[in-house]
Amino acid sequence: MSSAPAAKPRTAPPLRLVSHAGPPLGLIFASIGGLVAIAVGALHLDRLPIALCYVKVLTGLPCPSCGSTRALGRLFALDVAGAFAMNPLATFGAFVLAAWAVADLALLPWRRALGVEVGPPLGSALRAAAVVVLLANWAYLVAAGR
Amino acid sequence: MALCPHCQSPLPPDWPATQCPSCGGVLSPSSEPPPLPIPDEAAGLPPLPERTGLERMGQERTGQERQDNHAPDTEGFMHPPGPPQAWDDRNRIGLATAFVETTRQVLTAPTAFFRRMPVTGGVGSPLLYAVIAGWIGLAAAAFYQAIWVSIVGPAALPFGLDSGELGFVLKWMESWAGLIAQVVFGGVSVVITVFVGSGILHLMLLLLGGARRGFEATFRVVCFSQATTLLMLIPLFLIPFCGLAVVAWCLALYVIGLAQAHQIGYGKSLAAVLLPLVALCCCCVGLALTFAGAIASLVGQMP
Repeated sequence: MSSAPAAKPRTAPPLRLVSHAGPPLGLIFASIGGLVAIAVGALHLDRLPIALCYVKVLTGLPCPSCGSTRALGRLFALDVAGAFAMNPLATFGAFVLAAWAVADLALLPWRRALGVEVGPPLGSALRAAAVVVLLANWAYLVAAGR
Repeated sequence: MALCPHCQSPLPPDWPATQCPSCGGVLSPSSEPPPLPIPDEAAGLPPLPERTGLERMGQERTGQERQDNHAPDTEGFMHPPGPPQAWDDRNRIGLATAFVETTRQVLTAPTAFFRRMPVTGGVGSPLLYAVIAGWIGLAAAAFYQAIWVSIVGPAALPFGLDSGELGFVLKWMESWAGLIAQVVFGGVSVVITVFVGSGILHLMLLLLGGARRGFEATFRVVCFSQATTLLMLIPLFLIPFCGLAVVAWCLALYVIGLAQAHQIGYGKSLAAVLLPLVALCCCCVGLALTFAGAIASLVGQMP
């Protein structure tokens, strides 16, 4: 008599993409980004004669997000390499957002939107990785004199 | 009209509960409606089925029942019992009444309000509140600005900004045509502001390990905190530092709201609010805030 093997408890994957019934936030944020891009391109906000960053004015060092408006200006001019040179992390974020917006657009007929579920073991690792990436990007901005 | 003995807010005429819709306090017997008829089992009538939480909402509850109903949900979070919030009940009590009552609750009793605030149910309802409140505040600010400019003349732009497209737009914004444009497109700017602000705050919560609920919880806190923009109806520019006080009030509402909505400590909530103000600045408004907020809302919550 053979006994059936005991079923292993199902464990959720540490990271998975899901579609949910919530609002298409990727599409909404991409639309906002598009509006901002038009404003930057039309008003030349990336070529202001003064520094608006109070961190840079006070310390002489760029803040972690300095160069992102100039990166958007480069993207508006289809200069991807120039955008990465201005702020790599912001440019990378722009491409992630664009991909997410496309996914949301594809799911829109079913009234679904894209989401990400992060399991407990990966949460702390992702948090630490995000801090490291932010600091690395900041170090680059300081070194490049943004 | 009956008044709540605790917070003195008016009770809706057909309010069936023994709890105040504003503060959640138990109403005195004099303000209680007549008790609901209870079927008599001895008379052969079947007993009432066990009521669910929604069915019990708004009906008479004793203190012990409040304790019993204070149970964790499937995610392990506690849901304080209470009647529906005024804004969620606007179809019954009217939009204007719900708006005024919600604003009063947010500004005078934010801890109780955000504690009872549902953190799910869609972004449309809180966004409607934010747009109405923000629009009124923006329109008032634009009106006062136009009056100010007509009296003292246009503000001098910083060096280098008085020429080019941006200088033209900034000067045009101070004109009466610019005032009308600000009022017309004010709703769009409020929508952008609450989405980007929510995204940034949620990203900070994710980084600090405080995002115990999804993006919608943060979004609702930011939306209802727009109540502070109604203070722009008062010509605050006439009083020194009052503008800064309004900003501080709004930030305080963020701290309280995030702590209550995500059920985290005030220290973590305060850090999530102050970190972007210290580490980031206005030069990143264009891109970084939008993209960072977007990615934060994609993840939603992270254990």
